[in-house]
Amino acid sequence: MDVLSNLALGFSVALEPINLLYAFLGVLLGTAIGVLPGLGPVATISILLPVTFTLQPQSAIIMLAGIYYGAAYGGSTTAILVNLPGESSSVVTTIDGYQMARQGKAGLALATAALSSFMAGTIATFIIAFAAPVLAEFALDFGPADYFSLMVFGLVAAVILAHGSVVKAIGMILVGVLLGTMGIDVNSSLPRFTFGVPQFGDGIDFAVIAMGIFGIGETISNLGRTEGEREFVKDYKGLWPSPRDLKAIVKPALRGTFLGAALGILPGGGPVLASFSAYALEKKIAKDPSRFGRGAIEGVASPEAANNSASQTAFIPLLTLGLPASPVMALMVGALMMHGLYAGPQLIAEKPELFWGLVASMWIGNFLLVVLNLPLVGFWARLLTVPYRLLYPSILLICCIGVFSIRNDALDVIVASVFGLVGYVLTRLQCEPAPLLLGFILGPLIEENLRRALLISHGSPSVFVERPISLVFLILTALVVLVLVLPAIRSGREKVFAEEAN
Amino acid sequence: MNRRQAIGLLLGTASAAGFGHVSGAVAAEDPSKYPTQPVRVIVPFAPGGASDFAMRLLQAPMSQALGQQVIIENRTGAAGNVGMDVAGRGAPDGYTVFFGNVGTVSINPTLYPDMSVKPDKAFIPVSNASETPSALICSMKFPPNNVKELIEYVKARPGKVNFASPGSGSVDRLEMELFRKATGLDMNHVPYKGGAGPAVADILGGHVELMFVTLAAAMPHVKANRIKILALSSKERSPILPDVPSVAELGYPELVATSWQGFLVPTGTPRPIVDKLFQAIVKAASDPTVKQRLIDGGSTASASESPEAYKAFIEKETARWTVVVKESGAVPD
Amino acid sequence: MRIRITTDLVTGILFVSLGLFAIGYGWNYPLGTPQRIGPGYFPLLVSSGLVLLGLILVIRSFFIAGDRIEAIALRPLLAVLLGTLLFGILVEKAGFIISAVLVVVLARLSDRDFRPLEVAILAVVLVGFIGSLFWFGLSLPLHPFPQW
Repeated sequence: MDVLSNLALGFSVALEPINLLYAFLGVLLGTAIGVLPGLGPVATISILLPVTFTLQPQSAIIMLAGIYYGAAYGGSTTAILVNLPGESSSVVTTIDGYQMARQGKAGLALATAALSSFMAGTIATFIIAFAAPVLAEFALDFGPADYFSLMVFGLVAAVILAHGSVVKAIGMILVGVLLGTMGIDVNSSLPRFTFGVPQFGDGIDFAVIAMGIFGIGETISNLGRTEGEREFVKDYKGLWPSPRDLKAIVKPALRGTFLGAALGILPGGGPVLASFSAYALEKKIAKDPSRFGRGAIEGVASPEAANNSASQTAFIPLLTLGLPASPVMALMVGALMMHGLYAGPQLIAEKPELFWGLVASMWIGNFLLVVLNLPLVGFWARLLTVPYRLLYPSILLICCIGVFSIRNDALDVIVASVFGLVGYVLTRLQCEPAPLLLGFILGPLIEENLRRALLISHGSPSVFVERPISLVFLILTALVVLVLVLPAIRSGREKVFAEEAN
Repeated sequence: MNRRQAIGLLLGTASAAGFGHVSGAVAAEDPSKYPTQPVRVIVPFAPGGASDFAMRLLQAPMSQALGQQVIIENRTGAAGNVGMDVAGRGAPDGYTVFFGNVGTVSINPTLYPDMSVKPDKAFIPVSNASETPSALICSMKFPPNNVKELIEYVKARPGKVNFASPGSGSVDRLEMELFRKATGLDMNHVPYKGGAGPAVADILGGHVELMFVTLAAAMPHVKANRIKILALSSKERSPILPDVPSVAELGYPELVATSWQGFLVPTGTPRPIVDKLFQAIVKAASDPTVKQRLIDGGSTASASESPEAYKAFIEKETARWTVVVKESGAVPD
Repeated sequence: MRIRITTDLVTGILFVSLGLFAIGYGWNYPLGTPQRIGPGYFPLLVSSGLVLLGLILVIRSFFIAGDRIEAIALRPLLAVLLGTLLFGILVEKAGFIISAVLVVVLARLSDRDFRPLEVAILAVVLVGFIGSLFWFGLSLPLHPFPQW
């Protein structure tokens, strides 16, 4: 059987009215919950998992997958509108998406996110259909040393994210990495930086930090501005991308798609790393990098495409090898198990209708997302015309209850308040929070893989240069460092990027 | 059905935490009438994991046996300690039930001496529910094909062979420590986190050589012929893997161990309620669908003889693992 | 030399303090061996890097004219943080309604332009809407009313 007849089988399954209905339901619920900060796809799927036990397995998995990318999409909506990344993978979208919204281009930003995601989703679906098994084998070749080098590369590339001082950006990354070390150490079971608080045993939740810094902190700094400065531009223009906008979107979205597809296959940082590196890439190759951080449309298109294609290719190790690469994928394994099915290569052979139905439903789900969200773009953009004095108490209250809802723990709200203070102080000090969050996500992975790689190599650091994959990433890292350091040395000044622009 | 439940059901969240605070509010009622309201079972791990899987299977037949809805509440965090703490502070009225496992109940107290809840004091054991043996698996690239060859191979390369585990204090790691002690092998421990998945991925990729992992987690890869399975930590061979020897027949009866999950209730729960729960669990665990699904997944249903027998079982397990944890150095220095 | 309070200087001081604090707090975390890196190694490495960067920022601020820190908006800072902190402290005892109203009212107090009637309506609408969304829609285990 070739891929096309398999895809035909897939579409015949996915287009069954009942499966179409569940795909729609999943996407709808996912979007609705994704828009609420705090609850991410993991929580949403956990809540809804039991309902799917009564469904046919393919309907169940189609619905859960719909929730998964629906929630990721909803997370970008709040990132653009109110600077609240609903999901770790939409942190980057806040940088330029929110600036666009402030300039009255919320509609354009949302439409860009939707169209880029759809494009990425379409391409990723075909990548999965044609190349899943090959890609999965490739992912297995990544050992701990390779992950370490990849993550280091990601962190160094993150410095490009910053549009201010490079030293401060590196410092923010380190602060994030340090925050990431909180919790019980995997290797030794030793609690680190937990201050005797049992809840810190698993560290701090990403959403608590993000909502504190972005939600609460940003609100405070907005309130510090004068009345005129803090309102969003009201006369929002152009909900729809003009042909010129579309042209500006296509290439970054394509680059984001392929970068995301490649990184999504790897477990761990997948979609997050994808969105960050896509953004960094765009900024690096842009003619005028200074536009980034001030509402550059590529800064929305590329990372949104990247996180969407990454969240789809994340299914590859699960479906082809039975290896869940992320907590969401582990939930998918659970969902299949409840139906007496076991993810893995034999699943494709034994239940082709399930595998191909899911692949086809990914494309349908992305299509439904666009259909569902494009009409909403106008509504969302209009929401921002509400006077700020009515908007910000709502944002604060949603932050509080959203943070609480993550683990039903009031302590998290207090921690988020502290990060609200941190976020405000950071804006006063002209430090950008995005590198901090990336450090927070990648730091633990770096430490884990560093320690693991050295355990496996019996303490020999040469493992990092002996393994070809690792070596490639280390060379790339060195190149990025060179690119960063050279202009700084030449000009002797810190504002590398402002400099480049001139 | 009130409005909240109705909408909850609509969204499919009937089983979510919403009922949590309802249970404690009812004053002590006549235990002989138990249960008069939904029973909440706290699972200290995320949906989709081994504990959640077993509990979800038992949910329907248990609800039927009790005549009341059984609601699953996943309270995750700190290796299951968060959920155990919540359950331990629940009212001893039979409406809060803890779905513990070997890790939370028998290993964590030694591994995390500071934890706020002491399972042996906080709970009355009711009955075990399911168990799965561990499988000794290794990478396809790893030369040995059976335990005898493995021992020779490692003896020739002391300290050079790496074994993985899904966590320093996991039962799978401790099982490997038992194996090392029994065979006198010198191997290097590489811990992973986030369940068995990442560790098994590195076995598949050949980055680490071998590990003990629950049969449930190993099954899909065994079926796909991507890993070698050298032994099972059971007394007898498993019906689904008739070619794989058990540790007992290989001459290591002291290695027989399982990962188990079972029910406990807060201390102070009246005896009639414990008995009623016990009967419901036994009935649910003997449900043919439940049994088959568990076997397909590499586990077996295994209700205890009596709550007393379960208590004795847990005490034995705790004593055994306490020694292994201390000897393994898994405890922070 | 006159010391100017620039963002670089203050950031540098904060980096150094955080780094030193982490080094001090984690002093007893074992460093391990090259093969078996201990739990203390990585935090020490990161904290030392932070101290170093902080020192660079501090020293550089003496030589390079940086941006001065913009004025701190004390009123919104205190009002907003007090609101969210109180929510965290109170929500489990005083219930959702009281703590949510506090968040809304305190948040609006950060503005000089406080319109009592509008704030009252806003509080009722928001608490009702957001409360029911999370309560009914997501079955969040929150008590609406005080628990004493």
